[in-house]
Amino acid sequence: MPDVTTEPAVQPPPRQARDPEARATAVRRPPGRRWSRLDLAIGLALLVGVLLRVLLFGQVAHTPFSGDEVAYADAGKALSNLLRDLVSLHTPDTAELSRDVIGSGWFMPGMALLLTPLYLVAPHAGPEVAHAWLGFLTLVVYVLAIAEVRRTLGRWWALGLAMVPGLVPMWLLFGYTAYGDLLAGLVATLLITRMVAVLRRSASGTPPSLRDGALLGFLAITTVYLRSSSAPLVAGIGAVGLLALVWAGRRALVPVLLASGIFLAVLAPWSIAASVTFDTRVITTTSVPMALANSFGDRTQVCYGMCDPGSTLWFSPVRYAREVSRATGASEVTVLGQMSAYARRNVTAHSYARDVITDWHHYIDKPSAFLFKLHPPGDRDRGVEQAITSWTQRIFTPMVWLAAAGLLVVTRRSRRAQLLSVLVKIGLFGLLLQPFVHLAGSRYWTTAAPLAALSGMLAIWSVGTWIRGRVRRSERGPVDEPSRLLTLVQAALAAIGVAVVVVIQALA
Amino acid sequence: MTAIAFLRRRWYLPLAALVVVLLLISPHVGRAEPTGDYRPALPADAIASGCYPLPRGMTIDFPYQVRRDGDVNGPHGRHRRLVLQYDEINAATARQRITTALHRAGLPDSAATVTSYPRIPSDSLVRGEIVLTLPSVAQQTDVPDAAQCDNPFSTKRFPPAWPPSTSYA
Repeated sequence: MPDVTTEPAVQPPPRQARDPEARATAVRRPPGRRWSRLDLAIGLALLVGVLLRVLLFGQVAHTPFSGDEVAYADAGKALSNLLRDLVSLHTPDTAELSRDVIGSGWFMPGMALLLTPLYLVAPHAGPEVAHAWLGFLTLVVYVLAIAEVRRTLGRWWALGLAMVPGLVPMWLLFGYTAYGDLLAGLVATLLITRMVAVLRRSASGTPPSLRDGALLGFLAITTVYLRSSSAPLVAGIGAVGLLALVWAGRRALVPVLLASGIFLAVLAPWSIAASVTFDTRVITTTSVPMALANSFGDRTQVCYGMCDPGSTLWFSPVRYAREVSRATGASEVTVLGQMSAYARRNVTAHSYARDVITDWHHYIDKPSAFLFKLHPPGDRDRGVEQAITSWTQRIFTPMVWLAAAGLLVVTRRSRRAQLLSVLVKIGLFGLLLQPFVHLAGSRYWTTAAPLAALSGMLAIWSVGTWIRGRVRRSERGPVDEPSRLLTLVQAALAAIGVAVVVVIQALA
Repeated sequence: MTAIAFLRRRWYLPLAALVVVLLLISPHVGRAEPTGDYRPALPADAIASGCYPLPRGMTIDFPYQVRRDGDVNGPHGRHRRLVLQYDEINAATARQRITTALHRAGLPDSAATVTSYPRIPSDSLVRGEIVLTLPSVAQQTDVPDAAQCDNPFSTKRFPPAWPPSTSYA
C-alpha cells in the first residue's frame, strides 16, 4: 500500500493559482495517469458491493421499522409536518414536535433530518420506500468517503475501504436501516480523511481555508447528530485539529473558529430545544445516566426498587422519572441522574471491569445478531441468514485483529501516515469508549467498521513499507517530513490502549 | 458559458429549485402520522385517577408516587396493600403526615409502615417508602378517564405474568 509515501509532499501553491478549486487540484492530484488499474479495481469492488446491496434488499424491503428506528422515523415524520405547516402558514403542532422529535431526549435528530425529505413528499411511505431511500443515501455517503480517501490517502486505501466494510453483507444490510450508527461511521471517516489533508497542508505552511473550516465543522456536527455517542470521537478529532494552529500559526485561527462556530451553531437548536423541554441543561442526549445504571448498576434498584414490569429497561425508568417529576416539579432528567447514582451505589472497580468485559463481548461477538430483526416479516430463510452470518464473520474477525494491530502502529514514515495513524487511533478509541459507559449492542460495530478498516490497512501498510524498506534501502527517503510530536502521540495512544486492556483484565 | 459549465459552477441552483418545489407540493399530499410510541403520554396517578380511591377522608399532602397497589390475603383477611414512595421529606415528617391522613379516615397508626431508604444520597428527591394496609376497594366507574382504570401503568395493579423490565434483549 505505497500511496501514502509515494505521493509528493505538498508544495506551496503557485502564486497565480488564486482560485481555490484550481489550487486544491494542484495540491491534491497525484502525479502520473489520472486513472489507473487500481481505479478499475476500486470501481469493480464498488460494483460488486452495489450488486450485493441490491441482492440483500429483499431481506429487509418489507420489514417494518422496529425499535429505535420507529423513533427516528417518527421524528422525520414530525419534521416533515413542521415544514408542511410552515409552507402553508399554519401553526406548527408543537405537541407533536415535542413528543416525536425531542421525545425522551434519547436521540439527536440526524436520521430524522435525512428521513424528512422522504416523508415530505410521501407522508405515508411504507417500509420498502423508506429502506430504499436510506440505502440510497448510505451508498452516496459511502462513495463520497471512498472518493475522499482515494484523493487524500491514495488508491490502495480507497480499494481497501471499497472491500471492507463494503463487501460485508451485514454492514450492507444495516445500510437500509434507520439506525444512525453506520452513517455516523462513514461521516466520521470523511471527517478524519479531510482532517488529514488539512493538517498535512498546515504542516507545510498552507493554512486551512475558510471552506476547509466550514466543511470540517459541518462533518463534525453531522457525525454527532447521526449518533450522539460519537461525541468523544469528534472531540478527539477536534483536539487534533488544533495542531493547525501550531503548524500554520495565526493564519489558521479564523478557519478553526469557523469550524467551531458551525459546530456550535448547528448543535444549539437541538440543545436549546431539549434543555427547554426538560427544564435543565441538555447538550446532546439525556440517556447517559440510565445507560450507566443499566450497564453497571443494580437493575433491581433503578427505581429505588424494581421499576414497573411489562416494559423495557429503558422505558420503565423514564416513566418512573416522569412520575417523580410530576410529584416534585423537578426535571425528569435530574431525577434520572439521581436514580442512576442510587442504582450504582455498590459499583466496585471489580464489578465495573467485569461489566465492561461483558459489554465488550456484546459489542463484538455477534456482528450478525441483528438478523433477528432484519428479515422479511414472518419468514426467516435460514439458508440466506447462514450465508450472511458466515460471510460477515469471515471478514469481520480478521478485520478486528488487523484493526487492533493498527492501533499499535507507530509510524515515522511520513507526516500524512502519522496524521492518519493518530486520527484513526483517536477515532476508534473514541468509539470504543461505548462499552465503558453503555450497554453495547450488536449494531454499534457498524460505526467503527470503516475506521477499523483504515486501522487494519495501516497495520498492513506499515509491515509492507518496512519490508520494502529493507529490500530497497533508502531508494526513496521520507517524502513528507515526519513529526516527532506525532510519533510521541501515536506511542502514547498505543500505550494507553494496551494499559486500559491490561487494567480492565487485572481488575476483573 | 455552456449550460453544463453553468450547472457545474452553480450546482446548488437546481437543488434549491427542487427543494422549493418539494416544499410547495408537501401540504397537498397529506400529513405524516408519527406513532408517538417512544414518548407515550404519562399515565394518570393511581390515586388521582379515582379508579381505586383512598378511604373517605384520607388525602396525601406530600409528594409521592405509587409503586404497587392491589389486594392481598393477610392474617386478618383480604385487604388492600398500597405501596408508595415519599419525596423530599424525611421519614419522621412522612410518618407524622401519613398518620394524620389515616386518622382523618378513622384508620389506626399501624396501617402505615414508613421506611427510609438506606444510604440514600443527600440530594435524592425520593427518600423512602410507605406501605399502607387499607380496606379493599372496588374499581370505580364514575371517573373522568375510565381508560386509565384498565391501564396497569396507571393503577399499578400489574398482572402477575408481566415480566420484570430488567433484561436486555
